[in-house]
Amino acid sequence: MSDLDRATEAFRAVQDRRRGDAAHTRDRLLASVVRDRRRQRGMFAAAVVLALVLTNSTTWALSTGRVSEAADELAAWLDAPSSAEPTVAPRARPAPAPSRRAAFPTPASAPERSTARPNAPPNERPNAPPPERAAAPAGSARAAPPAPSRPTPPDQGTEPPLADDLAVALADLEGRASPSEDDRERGAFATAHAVHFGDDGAARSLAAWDAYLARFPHGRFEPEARFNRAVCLLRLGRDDAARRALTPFAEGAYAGIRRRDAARLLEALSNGRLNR
Amino acid sequence: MEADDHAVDDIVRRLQAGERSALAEVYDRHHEYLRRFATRLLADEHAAEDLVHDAFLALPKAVMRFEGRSTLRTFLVSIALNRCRHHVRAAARRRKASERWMRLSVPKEPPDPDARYRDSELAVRLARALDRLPLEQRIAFVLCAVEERSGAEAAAMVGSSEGTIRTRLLRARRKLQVLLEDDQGGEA
Repeated sequence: MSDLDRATEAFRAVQDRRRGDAAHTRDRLLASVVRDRRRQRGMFAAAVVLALVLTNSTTWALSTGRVSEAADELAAWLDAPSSAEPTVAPRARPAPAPSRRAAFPTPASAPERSTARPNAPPNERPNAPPPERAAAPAGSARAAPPAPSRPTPPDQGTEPPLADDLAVALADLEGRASPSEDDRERGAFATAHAVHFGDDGAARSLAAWDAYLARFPHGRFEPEARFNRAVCLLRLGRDDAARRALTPFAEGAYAGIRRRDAARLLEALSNGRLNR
Repeated sequence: MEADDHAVDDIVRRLQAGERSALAEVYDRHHEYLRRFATRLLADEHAAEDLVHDAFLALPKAVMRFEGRSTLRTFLVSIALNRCRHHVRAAARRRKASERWMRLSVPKEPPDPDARYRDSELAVRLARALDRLPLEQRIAFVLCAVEERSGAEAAAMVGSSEGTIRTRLLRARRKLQVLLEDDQGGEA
């Protein structure tokens, strides 16, 4: 037997005596799988939501000069300069095709206290004072938005629920035969998000967020859903309910998510400085 | 050899569907085999453990290409071979580092000529020599000489021809023989 053959036998014997750590590697493997999937889902969900927002709200937003819907809405409530300058100049666009909306019922317990038209943005409600803007640095003040042109919503009740369609689409994209619970959650959130930022009206937005939270009360998007719901309550003039919804955020209940925004809204509510 | 083709088809289908429980089942069934292969390939426990983890982690994606022409176990080894380069380097670095530490300690007594100790010494010398081989020759040597697989089987795992495997094995053996002799000459 050559030296190499002897060494080979010895090498085999020594390596085969090594035990390794099978249990630890198993745990590590399964944890890695979960982490990788969460990362993929997060990126995918963000892409779906972004696609919906761009499809539904940006078309209208571009046509009316309002691009950063969330920042502008908050600023409008607080009489503060917009935190996000429009990055795209408004330009004429053809009227967008009617988009499919979920047939959300208007909750019976949510009377519309506002005397506004159902789809009017906050600063265009009749009988409301014009927005008073604090002195802002040059270049940051917003021009009053022109009258919005909105697509005519299709008949409610004749369209299939958008959330379910989205869930099916997500399942298809990821190669699943039928939507998983995670697909359904992502579909429900993306739909509510599109309704909210597509400015379908506070009542419809509230119903959309209530629908998401009823199905997924502690879902992945719970903090964002609850905050947006609180904003809907403010728009509807349901101040006590809005206060109850915003207080946990201001107290840091959701790991500090939206804490500053909630605190500013609550302060403005207390001081009567909310712009309705 | 897979005892039940239907069971293999079922677990492959479940892996392809992304079922985490399927991955856990495959791990439980095949981890010892893959670990033994990885340890023989890398001659380092920690690197072997990392390679096992990486190979199983890659399985759900890789299994989309599985056509049943080999066993699932062999397929796992192929995945490990595809991913071993980084781990081979890590194992070699660790070995060099530990040898530097060992050289710092001078044995007070002559080493015990026990057979197990001799085996251990030989294994270390061969591991050192393997680190100096090109990766393809190292793989051919471990598959054919250490694991005692046929040339055809090794070729299928690596994705090359039997002739290529034989050539790599021949070159590996020649080089290892020289390295072992040099190593022994250095110690004398």
